[in-house]
Amino acid sequence: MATRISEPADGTINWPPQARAYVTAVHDQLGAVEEDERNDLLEDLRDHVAALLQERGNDVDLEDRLGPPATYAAELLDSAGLQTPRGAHRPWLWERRIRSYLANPRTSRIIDWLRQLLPAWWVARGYGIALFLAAFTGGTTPSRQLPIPWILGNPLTGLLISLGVIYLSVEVGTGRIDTSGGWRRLARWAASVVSVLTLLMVATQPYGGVVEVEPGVFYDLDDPGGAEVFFEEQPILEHPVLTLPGRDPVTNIYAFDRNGTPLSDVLLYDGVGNPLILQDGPDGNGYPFDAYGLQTDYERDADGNLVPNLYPLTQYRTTDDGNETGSRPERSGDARRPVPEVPIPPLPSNAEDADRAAPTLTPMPPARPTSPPLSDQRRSGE
Amino acid sequence: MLDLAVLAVLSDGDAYGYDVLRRLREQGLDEVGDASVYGTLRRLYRAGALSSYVVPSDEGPNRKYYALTDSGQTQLEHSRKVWQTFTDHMAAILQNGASR
Repeated sequence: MATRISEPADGTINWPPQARAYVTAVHDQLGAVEEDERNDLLEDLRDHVAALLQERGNDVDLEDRLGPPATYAAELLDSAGLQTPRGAHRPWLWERRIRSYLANPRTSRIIDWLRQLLPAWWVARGYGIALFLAAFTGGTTPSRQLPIPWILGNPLTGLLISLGVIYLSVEVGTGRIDTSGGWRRLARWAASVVSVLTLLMVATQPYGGVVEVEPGVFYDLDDPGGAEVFFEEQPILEHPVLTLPGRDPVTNIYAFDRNGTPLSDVLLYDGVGNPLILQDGPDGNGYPFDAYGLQTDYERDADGNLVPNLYPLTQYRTTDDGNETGSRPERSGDARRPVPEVPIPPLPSNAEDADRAAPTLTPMPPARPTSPPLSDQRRSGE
Repeated sequence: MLDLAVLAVLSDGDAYGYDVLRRLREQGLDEVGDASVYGTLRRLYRAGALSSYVVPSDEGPNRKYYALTDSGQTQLEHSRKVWQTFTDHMAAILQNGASR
């Protein structure tokens, strides 16, 4: 007698494992019968077993009552006037061995326990399909805290479609939607495979992979105010960047002394001595101000070297494969200069004024990097 | 023979597979196999002697009922005559044999 890891047929989910195994074994014996006819025969058998279980309880010995599955199948075929088509597929030896292993009582108990998880799988399958739809309709997930796929660019649409797909998946799983034959069974398997692959893809991506993204910004620094911001969506970077309180990325840091004089060769570290890295984009070209989907058209000096700090930078957006999108801003020509046009607030000239000017700040001791080489760099930067 | 028995049972009223089997057993056909009855039902259905319909059940899964069609009714009458003739002949043969 054999069983298999698959969704139980309609109405059999509460059956004892030996009853499902019996039906499965008969099914295997009928493997060469035309599918429609086989489904009808098995439907009758399921009805019969259900009636026996109802009348005699779950402990009924089906082999004792109906005979071995092979005998039952042979009698059924004979009385129904059916013969196994010549050349039809018979289970291979390895198939029979696997089924024999699955029919082992201990394995059956494990499989029976796993069947209890089927409802969770049905929900996950629906969610995976929703993620797949999101990935192919330009969808995103706004955050990891609320993992609703954006389908057709809309979270509400995504929520509704997700619920609908999950509902269908559960209905298919319980058998209330018949997918036992022909293209429907093929579609069910295809959907399951697509869902599993999508879920695996999402699960193995450190920051959500194909669908999970967070809002990004594009600063058009050619704008005199430098403040025009286009909120778009961009995949989460492999390495996180510094962010502002609104989760917008910090794209640049300027260092000035208290007199407003720009400082050069400043090295910044966090409290434990890690260097602060901005815009660690996947292009890996080392350009300091490039991010995923955002590149900078750097100017070059007379020797052809990049001048990375000639502001405002001419930045433009690119697609995933590096192709430029939209129009590239024109250079500002002679108006560009090595410091951005940022209003510098007047700073107090002594510590007492400084405390009054920034009463909410807590004085911090000088950060001391833990790594000696970094410590050396920091002191040289200061 | 089982064809005739199944048709005769269904001539008393529509029934689902398990019910047909139970009625046959009640009539004394204890040895008839479950699979034989279901196979016979399927064969008669394919031949057009039976029709089927599904009835929701409060006690379990839906039940598929079988009913005699006109063709099935005709087949039943014909088979009954054949069987009656056969049993008459057999009865006569056995009676003659016993009287000798």
